[in-house]
Amino acid sequence: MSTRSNEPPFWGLFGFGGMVIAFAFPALLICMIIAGLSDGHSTFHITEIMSHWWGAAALFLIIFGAAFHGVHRILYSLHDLKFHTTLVHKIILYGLAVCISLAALAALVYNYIQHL
Amino acid sequence: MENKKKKFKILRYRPETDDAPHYETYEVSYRHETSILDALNEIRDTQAPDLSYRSSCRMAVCGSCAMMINGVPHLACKTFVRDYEKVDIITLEPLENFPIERDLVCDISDMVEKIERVKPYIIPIDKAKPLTEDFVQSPRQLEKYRQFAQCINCGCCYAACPQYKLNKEFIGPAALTLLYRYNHDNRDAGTPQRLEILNQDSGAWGCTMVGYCSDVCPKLVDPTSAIQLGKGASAFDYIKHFFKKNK
Repeated sequence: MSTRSNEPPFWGLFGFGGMVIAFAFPALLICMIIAGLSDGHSTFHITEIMSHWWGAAALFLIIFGAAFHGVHRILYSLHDLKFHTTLVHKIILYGLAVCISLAALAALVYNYIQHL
Repeated sequence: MENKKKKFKILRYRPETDDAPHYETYEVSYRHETSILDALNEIRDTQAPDLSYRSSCRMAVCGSCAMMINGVPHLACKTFVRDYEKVDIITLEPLENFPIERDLVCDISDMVEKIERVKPYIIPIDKAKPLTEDFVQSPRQLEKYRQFAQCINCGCCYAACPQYKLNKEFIGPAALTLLYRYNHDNRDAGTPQRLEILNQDSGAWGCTMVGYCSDVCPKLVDPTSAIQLGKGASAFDYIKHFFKKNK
């Protein structure tokens, strides 16, 4: 009679992304502001973070989490705005999150190899 | 105290004579302590003897007098006319999202059925244990669910819920709150049965966390929090079901 919802994994990613955004985005923003204000004369470069495997991994998790959080929020908002969402919308939006994550992964791996 | 006057615009619908609901306006005098329910009693006693509305305890315990007051779900007995001094007219309508039965009385049977579905009672761990024996519960165990046990089934949260408005299959805030309340009672053994309801799309996953139910709850229960905790429990059960045999 009862059918289990498939929502939990997506909700889990949504929660993970929300936490990442809350914790990592302010720190990332400060780093980028410092990098911007330093006018290129600073010894600190934002690309240095990406050259370390831990920096690249952290950036990947941030982008991956934020992408899945964002598309889930879009789906929720569409539903609240009385736009009936179907499986097609979910495939498109979660597909977009997968594409963003893969593009980030490719860019980070490329950058990492370049700096080896 | 000086008596002041206030206008009330009330949605009237008498199915035997009216084709559609319409508004009628009344004026009553009020004092500092006049509640909306007192004003309604005054209107019925002096101006509209056929005005229908539900009420009983007059002290926010029974949950009968829930209605839309200026578009917001409130208990008429717990809301005071003095709180609307800045507005010229107070609009009273039956609870939103429910069919109107008559005047301010709406048909809440869908909500009652949904609350019944979550088995809002203790399912004993040991059914053989005689009722003359103690079922011990510590204050700490009580604190786990005490807040959610304050629900009086008034229906304000259903009237506020945009998900229930969009999809009547959604089990709703009060039912999910009571589901959480009984699942976290140490004397109860009904969690597996209630999880089946919680895990569905129409269960906790039907909620998009708008949070208006918690804003309007007259008993300061926080249904949004109960649903969020319910989602956590459901997600945990989702992982667990992969490790169960034959499921």
